[in-house]
Amino acid sequence: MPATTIHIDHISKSYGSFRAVDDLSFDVYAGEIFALLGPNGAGKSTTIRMILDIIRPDRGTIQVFGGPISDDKKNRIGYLPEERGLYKSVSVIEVMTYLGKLKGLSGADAKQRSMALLQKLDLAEHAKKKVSELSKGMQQKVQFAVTILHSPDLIIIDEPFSGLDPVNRLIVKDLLEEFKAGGGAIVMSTHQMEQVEEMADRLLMINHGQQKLYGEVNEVKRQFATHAILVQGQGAWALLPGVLRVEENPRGHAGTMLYLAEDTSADQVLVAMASSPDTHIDKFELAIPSLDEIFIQVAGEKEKIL
Amino acid sequence: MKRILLVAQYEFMTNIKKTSFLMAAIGGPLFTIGIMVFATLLSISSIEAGQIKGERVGYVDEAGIIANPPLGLPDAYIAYPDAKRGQTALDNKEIDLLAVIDSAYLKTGKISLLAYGSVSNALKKDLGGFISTNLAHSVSDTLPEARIKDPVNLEYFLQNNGRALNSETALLAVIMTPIVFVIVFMIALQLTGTYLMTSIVEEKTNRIMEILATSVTPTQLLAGKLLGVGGLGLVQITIWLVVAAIGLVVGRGTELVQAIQVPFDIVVIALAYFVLNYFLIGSILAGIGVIVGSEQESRQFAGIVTIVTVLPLILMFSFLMDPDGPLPVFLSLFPFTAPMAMLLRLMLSAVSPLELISSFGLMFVTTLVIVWMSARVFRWAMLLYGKKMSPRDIWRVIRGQTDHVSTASLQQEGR
Repeated sequence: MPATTIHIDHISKSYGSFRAVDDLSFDVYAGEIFALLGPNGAGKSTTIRMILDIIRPDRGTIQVFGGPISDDKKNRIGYLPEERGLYKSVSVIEVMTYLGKLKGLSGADAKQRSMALLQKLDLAEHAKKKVSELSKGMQQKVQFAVTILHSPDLIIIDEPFSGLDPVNRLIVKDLLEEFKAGGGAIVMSTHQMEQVEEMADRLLMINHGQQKLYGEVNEVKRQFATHAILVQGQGAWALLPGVLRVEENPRGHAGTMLYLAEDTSADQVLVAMASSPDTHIDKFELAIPSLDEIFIQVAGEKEKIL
Repeated sequence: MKRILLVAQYEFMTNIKKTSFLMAAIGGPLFTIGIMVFATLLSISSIEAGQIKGERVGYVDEAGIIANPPLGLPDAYIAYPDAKRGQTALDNKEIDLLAVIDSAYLKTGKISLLAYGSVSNALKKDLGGFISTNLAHSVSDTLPEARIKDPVNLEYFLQNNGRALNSETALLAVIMTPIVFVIVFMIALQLTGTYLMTSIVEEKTNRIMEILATSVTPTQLLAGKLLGVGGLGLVQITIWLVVAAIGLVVGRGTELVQAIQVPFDIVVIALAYFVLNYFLIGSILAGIGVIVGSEQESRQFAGIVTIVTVLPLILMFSFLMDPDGPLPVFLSLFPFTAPMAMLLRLMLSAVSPLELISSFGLMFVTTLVIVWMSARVFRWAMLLYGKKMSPRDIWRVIRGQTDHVSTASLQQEGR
């Protein structure tokens, strides 16, 4: 069992009569990428700000690295907010050194680490340039470098890939994987579900401040799996035993969705298909919805209730 | 504390390297010196170019007041029996100037000066001296001539600090010294206040505050900024003082400079007031910067604050008329105008220690309260984007009722 980096126990936060976070509990472990999901206004930023001790919860407790947050512990956290910025009229290396020093590094150490990271991110030649002279993508990379400059044990990133081209996206992704492999914990707040599916180990989806989904990414997806299979090919699908109904190109997927009777398993259908001479199969898969679909479904549910 | 110093160091180092700071900090004093040197050169050269040096002066005594033989006759003075012959001598360039003492002089004091060109003040003074010497002689042989010519030799004693002022120039110096002090402080305050506000506005618009917030508390950030930018202000004042010291050394021969007295106690008091004033105004400007979040708008608010602080300068006349009148006393107690008003009063009049302590104490307490209020506002406003706080919101934040404020702001922010 990996060490618990963040332990959140029934936290709530209200602004006046508005409940931003409502009785939320979750854990983040060392060596994992944890995705924090939810529509705009769901309470993600408030949750992150509470973890970072920028604001305090009304109720509940937050433990970071096995206890309440402290100044020393803050030095072990790297944070990249969604609204990013740097001092525009100061050189890249100066900004990085300053922010590194605020995280407890010595001046020389901060400078040395900054140069090494800039080298890695292909930005070494821009170190002495003013931030305003860099392209937006370069600035994004510098901001990312600042986040991991002090070798934190936990990084919290809002939309890690926004504004990055595919090449830089890959560089940042590799750095995140490297960080994870080194035993660091990553909390990633994003709307890009494909990134979550690709990278995250576990997820928490919240809406209106409440927990909607929580657990391993694959497990969550399985929970939402309908008792159906998606096939491509030719055949009289509806006539197969145990198939209740069929749907062509469901929810934008190419192929046919076969909804199965409760006592029929996918294996049985596959056997039936294989033994049927008129049937030709190009693709056969369990109908597990994408996170996107789950997201829309979960986020939409509440709207219907309201 | 370490983080406060880090922020302070960063603010100091990044701003001191800015061209705009160098221009203002060094350029300001240099510009002032330049103007003074230029004005002096201009007046010297104009004297030399256009004015009659008056080595040769002719005079015609129609009133018969010049003693015979003339008393105190300057070397180059030549007497002519009548105006016509004097005029001829002037036309022939035998003399540079002709003074005709009118026959009705004793009634009217009229003396006609004839010259090709303008006449210097020194020459007029010479002539006056010559005539009054001769007049004095005809009044009395026993009275000292000097007392007739110069009956009132004023020596001023300002009772508060026992400084004796023996001439009107000295009085001028006494009035000018605090004004110069006040202006230098104003410039330094203005410059530093602007830097403080700009840096806060920049961090807010750049959204770097959110990153800083994970390393430093809002109070640490505010304190670090106040200290770092305040250091810039002290650098600026030091530059002015050095320039002033050079000016005093260079101009030590002139009467005005000799009359300038800057008592040590007043310098200490002035510096203490400046420091308090900086924290008072600085924390207000920081609060404005973090609330308004736009440079242009925050400058407008800063302008209002500045006008209040320079009120004593605008009302200078009432200080000169009666430094202990109700208005000057009120202004020297009111924390926002106290530094300048008190400085003016200290130089011009006797200020009781009780008044000084009250003024300083009031300002000290006000500054503490304002810094505290500013830190509270800072904590809440630094992460609010896209929403302006109304005066009612600000008041709520200061009183600690922050929930209502955040609701609206955060909802609008699209959290």
